[in-house]
Amino acid sequence: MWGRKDDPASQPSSPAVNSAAGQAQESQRPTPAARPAADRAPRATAQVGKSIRFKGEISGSEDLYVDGEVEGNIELRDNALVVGPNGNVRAQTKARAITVQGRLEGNVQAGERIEIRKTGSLEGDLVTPRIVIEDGAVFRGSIDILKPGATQQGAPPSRKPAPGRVPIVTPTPPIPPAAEAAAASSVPAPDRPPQQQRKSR
Amino acid sequence: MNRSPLGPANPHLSSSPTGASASGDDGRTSSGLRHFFQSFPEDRHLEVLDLGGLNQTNVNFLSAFDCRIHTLDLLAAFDQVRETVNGCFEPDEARAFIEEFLGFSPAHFDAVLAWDSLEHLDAAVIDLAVSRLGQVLKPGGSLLAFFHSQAGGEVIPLQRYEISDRETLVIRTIGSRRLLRTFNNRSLERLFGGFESVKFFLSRDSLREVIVVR
Repeated sequence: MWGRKDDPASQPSSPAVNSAAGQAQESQRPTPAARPAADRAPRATAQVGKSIRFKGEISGSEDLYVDGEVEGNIELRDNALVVGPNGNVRAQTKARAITVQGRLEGNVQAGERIEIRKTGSLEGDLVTPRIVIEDGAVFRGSIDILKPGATQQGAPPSRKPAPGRVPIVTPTPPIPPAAEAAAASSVPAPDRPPQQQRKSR
Repeated sequence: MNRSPLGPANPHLSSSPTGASASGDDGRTSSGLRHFFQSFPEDRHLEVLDLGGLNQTNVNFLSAFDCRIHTLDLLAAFDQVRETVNGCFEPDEARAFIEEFLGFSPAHFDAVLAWDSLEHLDAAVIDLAVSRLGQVLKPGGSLLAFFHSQAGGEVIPLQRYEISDRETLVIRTIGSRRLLRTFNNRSLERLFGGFESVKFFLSRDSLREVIVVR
């Protein structure tokens, strides 16, 4: 499946920001022996463990796995960000691919895709060529799907400050592998959604 | 407090893990949807507000247009806030709810997909919501809303609407809910009285489809 071998959640290797909690989490992930051969290639993945609280700006050229708290800015233009199930990120975020399993609040820009898993909660304005939404994902904000060669249009509508926003639970259809692959490979024409969409129902 | 007498706090979560039982998987023709897309300008960037919550199928479909999609599960928001106000919105609370969730810039959206979220709002909230939606729509912008035609107090299916093509909807039942009241054509005309035009389509499945244009 597309993107899987690039997913830092499935292949942390040399943690740059690490913690005991992060290492504990590491032990719960698939061992290299359990992964397909294609996934075993070493790839630098920094980690913010679940006991870590970080405030400031994170930028770099390696994948990042956040299972703790981050507040500020995250910029990993050519790399992937995974917000783990315990992760709580309040940041303007730019990355190649972003997967949300925990909570992410802030405007998000992805060069390749944004994936909101069923346990994930995302609040903000998204700009991405592709989005994958699992059933049960929580989202509030706007989605700007970038087409090849397109530039971002205008600014999102201003919303008045909203103290005490409540989470919005939005059930979404399951994303079977076929549909996920379809989302990765094409954007449907308005009149003819790709066949995979029909299959997914 | 339970937000619905019929189920858990969030009826959306009462569905099966796969998104619940699907009704009409092959989809059914929707005249309201057809009219909605007929009025959809395709020669410029669009701003679309979907009040049915995030939905992969609809995002895929709408993203084929040059548009930004704003999503909000209005009904879930309403239910969650209603818990905090002990089930009854005072006028101030209703206004605060509208500001919180529909406080968008005026005349920002080209189109609004309200689905059936409006019919479940309390009397104190629905007029304010419709009025605000009229404000955030651009002149000439369309709003599509559905209203069940069963009698008030009846238990009706809670549904999710997935756009299959410009005139076909797949309607998935994801739970059930008691209908607060019935909207007939006259009450709908009154509800949308501030809009330029109101059109109704009554479908076979007891769903009144309404297209209003600002």
